[in-house]
Amino acid sequence: MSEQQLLSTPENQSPSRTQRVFRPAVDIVETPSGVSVVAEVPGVDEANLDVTIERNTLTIRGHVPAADIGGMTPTHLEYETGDYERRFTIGEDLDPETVDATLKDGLLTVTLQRKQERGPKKVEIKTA
Amino acid sequence: MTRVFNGLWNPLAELSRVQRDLNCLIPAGWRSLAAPATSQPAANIWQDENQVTLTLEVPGIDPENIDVTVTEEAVTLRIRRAERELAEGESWVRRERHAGEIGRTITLPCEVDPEKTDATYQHGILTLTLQRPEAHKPHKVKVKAC
Repeated sequence: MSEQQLLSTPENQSPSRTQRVFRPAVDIVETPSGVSVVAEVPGVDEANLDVTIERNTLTIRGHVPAADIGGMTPTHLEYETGDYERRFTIGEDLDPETVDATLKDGLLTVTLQRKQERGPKKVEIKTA
Repeated sequence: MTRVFNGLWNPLAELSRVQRDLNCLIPAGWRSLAAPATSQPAANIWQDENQVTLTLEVPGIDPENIDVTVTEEAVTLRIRRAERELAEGESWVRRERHAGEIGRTITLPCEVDPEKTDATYQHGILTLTLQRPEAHKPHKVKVKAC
């Protein structure tokens, strides 16, 4: 699995977005049965998470609502609130139909299984 | 190295390539504005006349592995991030997330009452709500006409 280049800059935002888009940190592990991708998307809930596979591209998108701390005044800010987006090109040996995604505590886990190897198919010959 | 496409040098393609290469060099935590360039979680602080609120991005942490200590002037956090151990036949393709134990002390913008601290953890965001002591809350002074 390789990552497509996706710049997390305003120039790369889609026109409908009003927030900045960030590239989530990921761990990717290859397992004997497939691939596991773990992405950090803090602040995203299930309703605002979108995982899609189109052709050979896996796309992770998460929307984080703008911070609302009850009208309080920010005095020290180390991180910005924004959306997440990252794309990956999946290998031909992986089966897109087996994609599975779970979200827990701001951590998204996406797994893909390898395609079942297809051996030679025996053709049954019918008598006329 | 200059790339040649159909015998012609394409400066726009070259710029695009340089931009992509630079993007690869940007660490995963690049969006942090002021936090030290370590695995420390980024924190935001808000305050009003009644309370101080801290939010920290710490995705994927079991709340049991978050220790919060509050004094009148500071909050100290100890967070243990479990490291993924590979099983037989597994291998890393990409590893950007930090693991291990981290500690951080954050000086508060004003005094708080340590006994009145509330901590919640939702969607990977740790939120600490700290109440300001009555004696330290700002008081409005009414100006009388002489």
